[in-house]
Amino acid sequence: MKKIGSIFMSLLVLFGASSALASCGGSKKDDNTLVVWVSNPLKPDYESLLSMSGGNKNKMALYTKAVVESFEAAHPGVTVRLESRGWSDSLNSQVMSAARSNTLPDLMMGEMYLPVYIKEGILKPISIGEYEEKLSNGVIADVKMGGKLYGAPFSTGVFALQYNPEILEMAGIPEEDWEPETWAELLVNSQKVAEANTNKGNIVTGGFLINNVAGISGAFRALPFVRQAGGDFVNENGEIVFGSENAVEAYKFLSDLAKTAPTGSLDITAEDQLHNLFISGGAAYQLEGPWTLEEADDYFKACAIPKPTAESTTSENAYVGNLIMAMTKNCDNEQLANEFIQHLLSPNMQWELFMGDSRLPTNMTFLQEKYEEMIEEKPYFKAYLDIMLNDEFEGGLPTFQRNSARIWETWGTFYNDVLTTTNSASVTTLAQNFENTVKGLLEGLHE
Amino acid sequence: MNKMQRQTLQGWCVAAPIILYFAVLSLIPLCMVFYYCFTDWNGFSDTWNMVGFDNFVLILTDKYYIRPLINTFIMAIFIILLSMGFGLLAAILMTREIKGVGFYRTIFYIPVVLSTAVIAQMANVWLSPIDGTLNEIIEVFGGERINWTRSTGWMMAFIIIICVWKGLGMTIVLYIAGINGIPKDYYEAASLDGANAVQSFFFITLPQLKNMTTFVLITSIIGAFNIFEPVQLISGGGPDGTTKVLLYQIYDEAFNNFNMGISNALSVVTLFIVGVLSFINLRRKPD
Repeated sequence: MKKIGSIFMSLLVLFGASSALASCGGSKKDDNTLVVWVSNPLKPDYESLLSMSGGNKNKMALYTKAVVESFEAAHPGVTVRLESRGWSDSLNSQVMSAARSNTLPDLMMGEMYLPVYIKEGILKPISIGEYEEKLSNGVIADVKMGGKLYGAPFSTGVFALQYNPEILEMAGIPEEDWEPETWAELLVNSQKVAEANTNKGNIVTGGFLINNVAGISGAFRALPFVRQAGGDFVNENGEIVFGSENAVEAYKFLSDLAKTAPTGSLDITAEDQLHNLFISGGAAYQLEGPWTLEEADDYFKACAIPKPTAESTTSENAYVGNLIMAMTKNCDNEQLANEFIQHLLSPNMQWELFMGDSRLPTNMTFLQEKYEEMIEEKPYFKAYLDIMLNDEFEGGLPTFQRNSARIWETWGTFYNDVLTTTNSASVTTLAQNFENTVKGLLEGLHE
Repeated sequence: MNKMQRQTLQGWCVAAPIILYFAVLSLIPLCMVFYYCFTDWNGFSDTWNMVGFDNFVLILTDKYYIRPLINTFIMAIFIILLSMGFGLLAAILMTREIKGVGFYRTIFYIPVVLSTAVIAQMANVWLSPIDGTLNEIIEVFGGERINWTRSTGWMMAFIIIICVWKGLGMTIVLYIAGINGIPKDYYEAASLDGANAVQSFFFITLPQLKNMTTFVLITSIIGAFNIFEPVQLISGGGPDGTTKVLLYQIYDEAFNNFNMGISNALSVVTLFIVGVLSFINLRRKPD
């Protein structure tokens, strides 16, 4: 009995000690293992996914398999270990703790918060040789600092105007007018659809489906209109210009457009619900990235975003879903890490990405060379490919070092006020007030 | 080594794992929280400034931070009252000899084991502004659609209802255990003295459940101040941040706003509130 007690106690001590040690330590890497924190379209569990019944239809798993196996084949003895560590705030929490304990992976995927990581010294500059020249200026706008490149976008999205031909036809709009070239034409078409009050199943169809989801979701989709009007959220000097004259012009137009939105759609709080509404025929138009078309390729079409007027010279867009692969400060084998990034940008992998994901490749040379083949494969992506090839877009939403969530939450309130106001004159005041609030928040809480 | 020393050593050996575990995973982080709450650390940097009580002043003066505090109190009060009230009522009914009592107990306990993500999905189906079940029902009865997701009052009410519904099963189980622990003799004696069911409830059941009620109250207070998932998955703190609660704000400050110092200060405030409320309850002497 006494012996059993001793064994039990020893086991308990061992358990406690090993748990404590495990919680203190990080995952040990060797020089031949490349640890990469990823998210879609790279799937760490691609082998399991592909082994399931019907798994060969999982396009992202097929893409991941192609990426990993071809890289390992070209680098004998090297193992690529993909790990899923979430996205956005979930990834931020992981990065924070790993950065403090120096257990960051060699490479990590990220999006709009990468500039914060760069400033905090969490990322190292990368060297991707010839591919640096091949990346569009628009996609690297936010990860090029002080002449150094800190990450390489390998998959991206831009915005285009998507439309539902069936609804436009039902509203009596002739086919030649389905793709509006100016804001006024878009508004007229949207109003016609809203007034036609047609039903699609049990849904009353609206004109333009506006994303009023609080936070960055709505802001992302307002930004192209603001840029088309010649404005922006932050200017090239880093000054906050949410309330500029040009931006206000765009808000006023969006406010008018919102009056044609499907009933209740301005109250939708999740992107997937908006997506489902459009797919179900809830609206004639929406501004969105290419992924919606991937799901309903024969049904919807896309065209360039209309300009404010026929005479407008600006046609700026914004990226969305720009997936960047970056090297962390804890990377042990920089050469191998750089080679992996180059591998993602290589023509073969960019083609695999195009087939496996609903976003767009970022290698411009590849886009030019494969343009015809890509359109043959996915004709509904033509508008998006044209925008990419014309390099008609800049970076995405601005990144703030602090209070980012608070700023975008305040944006949500402001934008909802803009979209629901019946007095367009109040938009100017709303925009000015919002700009002042943001400036106040950026002054810092402790200065 | 004499017997006494050997026993002491054995005692420490048995306690060592949990002490180590507690120290590494609770005590050290807690000390760090108390340190960082006086800094402006962003969570990444190797450097930070000591800001004294600035974070606490900000929390108690900026309505952005006061609102989650008030929301948490409002939600806590309703959740505690409703879950204890309904929990006790249901427990009394379920300790009666009624047909299918096992079925009812199971039905009430299912939400406890149900994932919050599943519950959130159900809530979204009910509240969808386009084809939500609730609005469909209202329209069938000739009523006007309600913008649930844009209404602060309604969203808060839904979160309260969901939290009560999810936690009710556990409260019922605890109260059933408490009621079953009351000697039947008390009721028999009361019955002989002519006491009716209501009198038995107020003069026997309730006083006998005092200890269990204290336990349920403390766990409910802690639970109510730990609401996070329903807010994140159903309302996202909205509309316009009006349903944010303390825990959600702590998370948001740390990992979205990069204000780790303020996040830690909010954690200290939460700890203080829960600690004080639990202390008050624990001071009541058990019978």
